[in-house]
Amino acid sequence: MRPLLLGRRALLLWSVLASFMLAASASAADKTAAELLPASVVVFVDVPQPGKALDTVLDHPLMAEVLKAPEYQRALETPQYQQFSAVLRRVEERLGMKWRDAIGGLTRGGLAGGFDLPTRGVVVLAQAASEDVAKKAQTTFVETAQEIAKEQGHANAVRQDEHRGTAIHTVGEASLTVIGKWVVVSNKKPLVLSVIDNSQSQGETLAADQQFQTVSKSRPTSAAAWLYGDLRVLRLTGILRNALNKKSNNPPAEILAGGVLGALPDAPYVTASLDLSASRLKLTTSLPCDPKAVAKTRDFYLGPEAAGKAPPLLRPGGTLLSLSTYRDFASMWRHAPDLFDEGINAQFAEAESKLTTFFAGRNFRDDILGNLEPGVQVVVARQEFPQEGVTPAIKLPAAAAVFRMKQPAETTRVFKVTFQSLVGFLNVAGAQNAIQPLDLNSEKIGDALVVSGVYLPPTDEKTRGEAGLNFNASPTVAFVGDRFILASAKPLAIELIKHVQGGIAASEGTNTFVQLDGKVGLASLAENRGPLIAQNMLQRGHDRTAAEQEIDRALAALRILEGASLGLSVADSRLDLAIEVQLAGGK
Amino acid sequence: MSLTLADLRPADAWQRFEPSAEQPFNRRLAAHLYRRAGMAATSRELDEAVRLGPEGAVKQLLSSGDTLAKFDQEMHKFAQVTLAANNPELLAGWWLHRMRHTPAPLVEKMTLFWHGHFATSAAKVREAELMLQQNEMFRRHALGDFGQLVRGIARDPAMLLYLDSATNRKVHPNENFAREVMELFCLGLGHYTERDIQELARCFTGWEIQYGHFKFNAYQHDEQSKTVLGKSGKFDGDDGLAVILDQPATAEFICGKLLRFFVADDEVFTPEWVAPLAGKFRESKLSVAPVLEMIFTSRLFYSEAAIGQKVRSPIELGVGMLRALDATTNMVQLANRLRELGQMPLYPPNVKGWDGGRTWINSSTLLGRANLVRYLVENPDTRFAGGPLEQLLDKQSIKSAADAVDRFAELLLAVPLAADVRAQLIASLEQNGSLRPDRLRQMLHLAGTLPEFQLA
Repeated sequence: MRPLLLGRRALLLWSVLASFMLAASASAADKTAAELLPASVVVFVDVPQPGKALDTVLDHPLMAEVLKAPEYQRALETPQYQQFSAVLRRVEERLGMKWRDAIGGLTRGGLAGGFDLPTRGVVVLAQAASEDVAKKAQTTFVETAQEIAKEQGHANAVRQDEHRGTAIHTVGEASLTVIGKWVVVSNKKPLVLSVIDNSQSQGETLAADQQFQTVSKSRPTSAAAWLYGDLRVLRLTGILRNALNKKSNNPPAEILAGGVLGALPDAPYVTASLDLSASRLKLTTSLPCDPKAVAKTRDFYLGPEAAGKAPPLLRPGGTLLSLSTYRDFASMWRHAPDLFDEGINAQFAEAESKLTTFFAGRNFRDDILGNLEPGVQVVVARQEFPQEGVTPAIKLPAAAAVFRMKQPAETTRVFKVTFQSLVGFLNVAGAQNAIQPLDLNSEKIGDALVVSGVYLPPTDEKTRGEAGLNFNASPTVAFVGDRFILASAKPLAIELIKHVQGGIAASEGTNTFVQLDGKVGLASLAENRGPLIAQNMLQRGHDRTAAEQEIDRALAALRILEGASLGLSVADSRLDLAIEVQLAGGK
Repeated sequence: MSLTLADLRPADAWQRFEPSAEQPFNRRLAAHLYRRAGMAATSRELDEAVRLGPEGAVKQLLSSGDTLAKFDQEMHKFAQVTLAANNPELLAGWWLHRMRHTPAPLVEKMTLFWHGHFATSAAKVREAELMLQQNEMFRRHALGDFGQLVRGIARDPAMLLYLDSATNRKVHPNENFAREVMELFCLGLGHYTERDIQELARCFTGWEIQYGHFKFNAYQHDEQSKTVLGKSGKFDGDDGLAVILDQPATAEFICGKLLRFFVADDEVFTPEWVAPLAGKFRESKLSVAPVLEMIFTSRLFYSEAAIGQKVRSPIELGVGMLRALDATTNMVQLANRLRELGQMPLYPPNVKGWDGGRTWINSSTLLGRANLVRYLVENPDTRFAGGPLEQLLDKQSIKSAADAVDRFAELLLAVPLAADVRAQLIASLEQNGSLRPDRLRQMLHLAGTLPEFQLA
């Protein structure tokens, strides 16, 4: 009787175990990537439909141009690519399908990745169309690795062991395992072990993390990819604060990104989402913070109480790039001792001394910068030639910056006189280098006072059609109402006079906004086709025919870029950065 | 057996070379001609040269300037765009591009010769446009009238600025240019006195450069009589130059330099060697082409006293390799690499130009030269007949390592490889008896370190 009972008990036990295992693998198959990843992962990336994203990218007309580019062709010739290509061919043979189809099947359920701080490991999880597909991927990996290792004389390169009944294969630093439909690859084996543990509900998961749960709820559902970065550990350890609280030695970086960097030390996390379609690529990043607290040390960037708003965006005809941003340069200069290191502060002091002399004794920081309202509008626009009968060989766009003056009457006179001095100085320096002098003019155009310097045309008439680079410039200052326009070329300054009182108003909370017009950019490059061809001949050694082909191909590719934009906005409890690229030609 | 001049007689050596069974005009001799009269030749050009024979090939080299019009126009346009940045270093890249692609390699080689002879450095002049102007003047007169070239250089803004001779006043004549005309440009040392320099300087008074242009300031010109090299008269600059050009020493000096540049570095060409050339030079009223024709069709030129008897200059090394292998690369970077080897175009080290010969080789430049070869074969910007180096073997129908080594040796080396060296190069290209195209770069780099590779 007893053996029968034992037998029955054993059978019962095995059945329970089998059911448990089946349940485990059934539940593993149902788990999300976040439920498999350990809680120590600090960067999490999720691509719900990788196949669709890949198709969007690979089938886009822009990709066809990239594939024709000489740089891409050269990359195909490198030994590394040749090796990779050989391995890929083997894999395709084993799978009996092309790599694109294989990737589609392997990631049908999604693709996710994580960076784990304790192990410094990266893990990738791909949810295959079925368990069979996942197993086939594993087998292909193992057999291909064994084959290559054998050819290279390393017979035992592929090691196999197991953890909690799950097989793990390791080649070099890469470890791979399959859990249900999930294929898991990592460069750190402990990370793979953690994933196996979590698949059997034996560990702490990312999904269980409170902050992750909260953030995931507001994740956009239509995003092609989504990133979550947990900054708490970095915050708690003070790594971020120490790194970012060091005084900067880079004023331009501070002007561009100071507010964002100031928010990072106290931010608990950062998220980014990518929207991808044939006509658009948009990356939106969000950083929760207390903007008002940031503004206490960086009011030059965000404004007092983080209420600084960018002025309207100006877009006169032929605009290639337009930028509008809230920045208070006088305030930044005043805060320089807190923001910058000693070396930079010494340079500030020296610059202030020289510029004060240049501005006829008026303190540059307080009397000059201090007389400008926070906010600047910048325009870069294509120029029409000839100007004054001269066309430069290389046609550069003109640039202008527009400011608002606090005390227009006084500031206008100071700037006008300073500009006259500048022109005089440029003429003396230019004469020493055989550059034509600037002819200084002052005129009224409507309500505006326009002071400009225009280069005298070259004495040799034959060179007026292919003149030097300096003929792209006719430095100009213009004053209309409380607006001060500083431009590299007179026509742009005059054009802006008509636009300064208008423009595209920024939405509430916009701190910085930039727009790039792809068509104007392409036209600017196309009108410099000759110089681009010459540059190609010099840099590639091509003859003219080959150079023309390459440049024309590049210009054709650029037709696909319609435009781009960047926007930084400030809400009550976060900073948002959105970068968008618009493309033509997609289906 | 290697011959020197001592083994030859001038009377025989200057006779015309006639191909024979013992010394046919084959690809090896054609390659020698193109290395000296140009930078190097592709395989196709060598076939064409053999077909034409030595006289036909030389005739083609001498007359290729006639077909230059379209290429010249294109290059001029290219240069003008390069000038927009006013950077002479970009212009140096432009010139290397021109040397690589020119259909008239002898014209370009002579332009380089004159640039070294009438040395002017962009480091001091700094104006790219003036350097281009001078370069184009050298090219216009490359194979032509030496007298016209000298008169042109006497008015050349770049030259006068370089020699601090932009002004020359009768009260205080500027002797700089006069000295160099006698010592370096026309006569050589020992054929004039200090007095002659002073008198010649008086001839050039009133010759000025203003805003990059030559101007004659009559108020500053010394109208009085001068005596230069025994001739007296109220000479102006051109008259003074005419006296110098008339000197027998001028023809001898220039022909001696041409001999050293095109035939052999180390030999001392005594007057009996130079005299026939100088006679030809004078007979042709100082026209350069007949002298070159005499050199390139002579027995001397095709003798062992000339073949492999010159050290390749850095420009010949770099551009020659590109031409021979039908390759293109980043010419601005090449110019910078040549600077490291002591020969960046438009930047001669001093008014004497480049010494050349064995001065190209020392312990650091030897390494630098091998690195230049490595840079050329490994730089991703370098394309060989439009593709990667490995595909060149297919395009040249090369199937075995031995064929590859022999072909590259023929295109790139002035002297045959020793058997053991050849075997070593073949072995470097093979694995289990089969050609490994992926080892071609390594083989070429190895070849670039050989002493044979340094010779032109």
